[in-house]
Amino acid sequence: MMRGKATHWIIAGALAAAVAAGLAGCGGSEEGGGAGGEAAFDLKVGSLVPLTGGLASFGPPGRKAADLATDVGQKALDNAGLDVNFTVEHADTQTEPQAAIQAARKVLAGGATCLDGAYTSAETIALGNSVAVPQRVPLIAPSSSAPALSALDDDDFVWRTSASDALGAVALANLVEREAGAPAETTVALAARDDAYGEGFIEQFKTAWVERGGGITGPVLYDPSQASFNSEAGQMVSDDPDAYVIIDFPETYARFGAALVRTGQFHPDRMFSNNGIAPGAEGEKAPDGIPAPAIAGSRGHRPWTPAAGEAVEAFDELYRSAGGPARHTYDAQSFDAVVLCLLAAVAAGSNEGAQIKEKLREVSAPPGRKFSYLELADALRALADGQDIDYEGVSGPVNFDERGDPTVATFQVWSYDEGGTLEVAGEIEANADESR
Amino acid sequence: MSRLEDNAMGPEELSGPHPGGADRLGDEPAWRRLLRRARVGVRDRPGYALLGITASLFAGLVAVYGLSDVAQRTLNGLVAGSYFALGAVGLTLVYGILKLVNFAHGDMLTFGAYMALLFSAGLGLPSLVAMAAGVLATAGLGLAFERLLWRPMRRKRAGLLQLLLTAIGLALFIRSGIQFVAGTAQRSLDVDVLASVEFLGLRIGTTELIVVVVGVAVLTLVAVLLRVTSVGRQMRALSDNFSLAETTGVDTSRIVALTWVFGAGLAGLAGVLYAAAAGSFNPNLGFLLLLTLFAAVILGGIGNAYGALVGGMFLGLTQEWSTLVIDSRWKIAIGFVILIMVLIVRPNGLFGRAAKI
Repeated sequence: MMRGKATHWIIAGALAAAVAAGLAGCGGSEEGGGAGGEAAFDLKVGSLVPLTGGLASFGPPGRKAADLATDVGQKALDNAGLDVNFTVEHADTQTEPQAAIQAARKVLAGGATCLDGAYTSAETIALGNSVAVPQRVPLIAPSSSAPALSALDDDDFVWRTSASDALGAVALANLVEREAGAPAETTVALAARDDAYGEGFIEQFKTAWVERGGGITGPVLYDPSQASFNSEAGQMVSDDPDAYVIIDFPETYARFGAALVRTGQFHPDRMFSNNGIAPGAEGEKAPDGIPAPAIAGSRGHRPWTPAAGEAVEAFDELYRSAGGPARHTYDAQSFDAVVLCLLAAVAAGSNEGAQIKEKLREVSAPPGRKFSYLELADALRALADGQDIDYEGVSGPVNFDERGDPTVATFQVWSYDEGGTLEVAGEIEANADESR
Repeated sequence: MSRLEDNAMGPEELSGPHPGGADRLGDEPAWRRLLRRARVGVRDRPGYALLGITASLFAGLVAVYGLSDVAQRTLNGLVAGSYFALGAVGLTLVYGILKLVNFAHGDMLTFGAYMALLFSAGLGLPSLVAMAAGVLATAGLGLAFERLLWRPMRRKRAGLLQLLLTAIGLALFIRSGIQFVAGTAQRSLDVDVLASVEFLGLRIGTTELIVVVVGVAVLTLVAVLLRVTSVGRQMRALSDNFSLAETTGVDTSRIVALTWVFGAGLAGLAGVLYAAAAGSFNPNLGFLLLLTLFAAVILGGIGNAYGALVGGMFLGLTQEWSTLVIDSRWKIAIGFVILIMVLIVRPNGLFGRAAKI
């Protein structure tokens, strides 16, 4: 008995020692840079990209955008005559929270003091809790959209340049209102796959729509692994709603949509959705397995960068002429995240994470003179003179709010035609102030 | 009586008074007698008891939600139930005769669906021919694994745990093989999943209707074959006592091979029909279904072919009915709640028997 207890204590002690050693190792790397307050320092951004795993298609474009931002930033620094050495280090998150933490530790050990990443909300939340907050390094996620991220107790170390689903839901409510009619006269039937993404988004939409005085039925939440969807489809079309909002992925919607058509009362042209079921490029067919009658005439939106604007066009040109991977959703958000790291560091006159995060809101949002990345050298000069600026990003105006989310976001509007071919028709904007 | 032959309505009630009962019955209060009869009824005639429970559930739901809603859900339940029953019968057959918990069964469903896809989209055969070929290919796969894997393992007297772990490994092997060859993208068979027929204000998908009809017909046929044919009798003999059957001259090697052909063929059929009716599938098709199939098998009584049919249908009905009462996201969980409730009353499943000593 006594011996058993002693063993436990020894193991516990060894574990504690190992943890302490690990923390010390990570903490030490943070002090590698120059001292705060001096004009001359080295800034390294850690870019955490999913080069493998579920979001592997996002990784290479995100990495390329971060590289471009670093080049643009270094040139602007030289132009502005600032003695700052600006670099980036990439690490693969494997689209896995645990691997993302390892990747973050690696770039922190390499001297990074501001992070661009990660991509899934699960990774970003894990990084926030295990790395950004305890190590006091700001983290700017370019593609995480879960509303849970806004509520994270992060001491202002976790940010994102991508729109929260709360903002996406407001934009979708705007779209439904524009296309289907005034909320007071429009009843919307809601359905979503029963997971964090589906339920999170549909609940945000429900809140937005009910706040406008609109009627809803549902939401019908269904388990993606269930064998048949007939009862859920029947529930959805009963009472003949004016519009449907369905948040799903193609693999489930292929079966749920077929069940909806089988009810004989489904009107696909009343259906609205988001990026989940419209992953393709313009002119592509609906994802494999979704029958055209289940989707013909449906509309929705997806995150996008504004189509017009000098900075947007210049970024497009810069990106395409650089070679490498083609443009992809959230590449501009990754670019903006890296630029914001630089601006906040120059504003703080330091490469220390805790000081960078103090300046992020200031440099991204009004008041202050507006600068796009094309006038980055001017923006850096203004910051060095102690002026306030408002960075206008490629992905949108950014304007971080008190939760570290962008306040304004632009979404691309898509629709499927009669044959199930994806069309892109304009854009729709959402402002977070509308959602409160 | 063999496990596989157990009458769905339960054995005849024992004639004569129950032990120690007769003289005390006179002064028993009426309600207690009723309760006792109900208990005995549930124990001895699970078929009637289940029929009674199902009918009263149906009546209760109709009273609250109206006939048309409940009838439509009932139809949906029969569709889901025939998926479960078709998938479960092969699983229970293999367990009943070989005492093997075949975790690879779900992935054999997937294999059937992908073989049908290969024959139709890949080789350009007509859909029906391709589906039949898919079923045959799965039966062949079952036979091949029996010869290459299960028979050598049986000869080396592998224990239950070793067989179980082998089956889990085999499941991963089949699934990974399918992913390796066909990829993980969504696939669909060239079948019309949108058409539906309407009668009396109720709707059912045309393909789904075919699945229900084929499912019930095939399961009845399997039950009859087990009962009347010589092979069926030998299978039941093996199910009761493997070594005794062997000593009395049953060609066990042949019967076991036939069991695999049947069990795997039925898995292939279930996979093909499920894939056709669902419209879209990926390599996880069978794996995701497997847990529910186990529930149907255990509910009906492990190793009992009729039990799989009744268990599958009962699970399908209760799952779909539950969507009237509570959020549909819980419907898979409802199936398992039902399973636990049944197991509390009848620990060996509806038509199962207590283990023999």
